[in-house]
Amino acid sequence: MIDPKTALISFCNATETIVAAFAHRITPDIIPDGQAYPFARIKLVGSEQAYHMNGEGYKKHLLQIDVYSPDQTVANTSAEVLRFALSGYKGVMGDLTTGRVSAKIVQSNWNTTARDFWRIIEVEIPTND
Amino acid sequence: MKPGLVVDASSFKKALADVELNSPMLLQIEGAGASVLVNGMRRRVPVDTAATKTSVMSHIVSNSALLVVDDVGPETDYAPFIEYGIPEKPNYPIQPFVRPTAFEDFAKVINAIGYSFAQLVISRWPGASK
Repeated sequence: MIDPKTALISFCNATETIVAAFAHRITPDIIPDGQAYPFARIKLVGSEQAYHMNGEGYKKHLLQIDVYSPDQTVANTSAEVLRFALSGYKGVMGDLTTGRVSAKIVQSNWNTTARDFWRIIEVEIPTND
Repeated sequence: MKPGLVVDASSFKKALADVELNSPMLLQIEGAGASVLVNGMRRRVPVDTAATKTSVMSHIVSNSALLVVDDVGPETDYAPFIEYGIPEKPNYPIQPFVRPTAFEDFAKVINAIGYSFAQLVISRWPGASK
């Protein structure tokens, strides 16, 4: 199975607006120590799998992208750059060929310890791969 | 020789016409879908003390003969941190259970609601035991 996190990161690293906002600081699962702001981290929340007579069919992946920045405006604009690039996208995403991708910003939080802003984007990726 | 098939929908239409949805009926139909969600969340939730698991339930917000609004989910204060993560510990692993249930069990919910409604119509079928 193609990892949707890897595919999504490949897409982000190939999209100019996202590279301009994050400079390749989008990682799967774990945020590396000492990561410079703004950065994002991608987690897989769930996957739906349909079957047909010949085996596997349609799949749909739900991913969560966490965007962090100490500046509220940067956090908002960076999250919006990701949402805008992903929402409605259809085509090649790394090793995946996707149907229309759905992306929405679902939560905004303030981290009192690290003193940064945290935005959560939910991304649905439908695919046959 | 040609096989003959006659479809008579008049009984079905009559049965449908006999179904006058009221508030308790709609709650019963919705309850079937809510049960699927409750079971799905309880199956997926990580368990330590089982406080969150046992708190997952259906919360009827409003109901009428036309609309039922039901918030299905956990009640513990820390459930959102299990679902989305903890702001103070960005690398703490998330163990989502609400969104995967809504995402993966959607078809089962629709099936359960449809089956529940079909049972209601069948119970009004001429000759069916009431």
